[in-house]
Amino acid sequence: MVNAKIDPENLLPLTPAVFHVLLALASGERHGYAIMQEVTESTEGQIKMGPGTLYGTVKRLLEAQLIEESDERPDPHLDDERRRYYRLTGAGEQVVKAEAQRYADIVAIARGKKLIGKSALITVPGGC
Amino acid sequence: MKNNAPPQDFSVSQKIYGRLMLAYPRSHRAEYGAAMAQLFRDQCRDAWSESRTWGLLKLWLRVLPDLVSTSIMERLAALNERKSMTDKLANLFGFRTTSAITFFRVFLVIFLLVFLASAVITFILPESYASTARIEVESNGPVSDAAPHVGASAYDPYFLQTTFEIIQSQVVLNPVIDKLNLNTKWGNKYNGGTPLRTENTMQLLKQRVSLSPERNTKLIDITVYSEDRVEAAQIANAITESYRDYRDKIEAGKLDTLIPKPSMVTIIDTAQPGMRPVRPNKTLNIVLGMVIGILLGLTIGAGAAGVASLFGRRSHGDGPRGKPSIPPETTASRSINDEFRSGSLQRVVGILWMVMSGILCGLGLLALFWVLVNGPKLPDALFVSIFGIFWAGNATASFFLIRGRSWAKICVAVMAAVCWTSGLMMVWSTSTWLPPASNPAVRLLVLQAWHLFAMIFPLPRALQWLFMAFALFTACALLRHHRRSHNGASPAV
Repeated sequence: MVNAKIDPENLLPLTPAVFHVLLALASGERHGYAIMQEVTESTEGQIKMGPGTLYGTVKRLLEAQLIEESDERPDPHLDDERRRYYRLTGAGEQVVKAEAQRYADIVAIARGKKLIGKSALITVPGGC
Repeated sequence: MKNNAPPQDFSVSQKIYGRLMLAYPRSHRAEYGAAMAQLFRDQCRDAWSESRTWGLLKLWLRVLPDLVSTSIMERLAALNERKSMTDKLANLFGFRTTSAITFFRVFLVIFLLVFLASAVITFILPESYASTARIEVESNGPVSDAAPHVGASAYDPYFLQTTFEIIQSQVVLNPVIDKLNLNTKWGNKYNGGTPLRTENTMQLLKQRVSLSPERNTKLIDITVYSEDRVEAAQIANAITESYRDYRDKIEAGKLDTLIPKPSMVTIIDTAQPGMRPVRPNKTLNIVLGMVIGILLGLTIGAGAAGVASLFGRRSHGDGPRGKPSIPPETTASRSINDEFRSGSLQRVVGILWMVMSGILCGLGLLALFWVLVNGPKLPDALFVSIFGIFWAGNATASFFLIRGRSWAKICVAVMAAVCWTSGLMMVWSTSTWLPPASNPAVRLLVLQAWHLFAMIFPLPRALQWLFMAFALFTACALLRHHRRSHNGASPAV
């Protein structure tokens, strides 16, 4: 579901919290707790989102139509019915790709200046 | 495996977090409150299984700053969704109806204007010091053949007034001006270095002198105000000496000069330079600004809410109190209520109310300005009388704009009558009744507050009776004060 009215470039750069939530949802639908776990694991525990930050970010992403609430459950028998699942919209996907590309360009510049090696791990800056 | 049953502090944490979530706006809580609580529960479970109580503590250290910062952000975001500041504040305080929002908006504007004006004026005004000298004066008494039993110490209702006039006359003040060389001093200060003429200096000096009797004694306080604390004391002392010299000179000219007599004037206390400025009284001024701002705000806000409510309903095709509008009648025997419902009287009353409120507001600000500049004394009773009359007009107009039960209407009608009566009585007794220090003026203020309260809120029966009793009491107090002042029993200063 691509929202043709949203130009991803206008939304960049994203705040770290927004980028991490979009990244977490890039691999599939998730509920709030799963998003938080995904962010913690992908940043090796450097970023631990609180409920306020997570749902504040979710609220803004929903308003910007970058994510949407999903009615489908991966497996209703295995999960709490009260959990709300979220997934990326087409616009959200474009935005997260554009932001990732922006980071990639920055990394390429840093490599050109030999600030980081080719095998260096890319760590997303910022915190929540 | 560390995962045991959730202990007490596990559920306590959840309860505390549930309470703290009240920091978020209502809409945010409604949308995400349950999900946030669930997420916190999951985090608690993880923290407990990781390192039990220490894990919970670490979680709280992370969650609290998150809660504070995000709740502030959400509150600000919720405010920005509103149209205007007053809408936002009205929303914060839970006002929902149009008339309540109008009331709140008008009240806020009027209150802030009056309060800020009083604060600004207070801090702009130059500071002045007061010094007071106290003298004891002996009456030279109406001793005559017709009344030989009346001694020199008999009560003379005109003596004090005469003494005050003499103290403020040229015979006493001219020597003071000469002695202290005030023409030159004040010329340097106020006239660009050119000495003032004695008449001008006299005018200035009179404005700075205040006389007050000590009740039931022969003592008079002579207070002088000046920007210079030493000068204030010098002038006060010079006036006492000048008056004493004047009285001694008069006595010396009498036929019985051979009989030795003590001086007719005794200086009890000499004036000392004041330690702190007495004007402007910053605390008093700011409190006055607040009180008058609240009263004017309530008056005008309540009327505006009434007008908004009536006109708003009319535009939606409903009459007052939500009844369907009555079509205009063609007969000549229309009652006031019918007129009111049909809108013509409603418009007239609305306009009357707006004009009255405008004048009231202007007079109120003028009175406030006067009080701030000159201390808590109004120029004369006439000003208060005019104020009272417009107040009464406003109350009467408010009566037609009121919503609520019939008892409340009766109360407001009584209020309007009392306001009118008191206003007229003040005018009648203008020449003798000075209201500044009198209780009835204060009572009138309280009365108006009650009136507004009754207009805005439906009162319980007991409070309505109390309200009416208070109105009657005030009317009686005003009447008593009026009679006393006409009999000359109360001092006029």
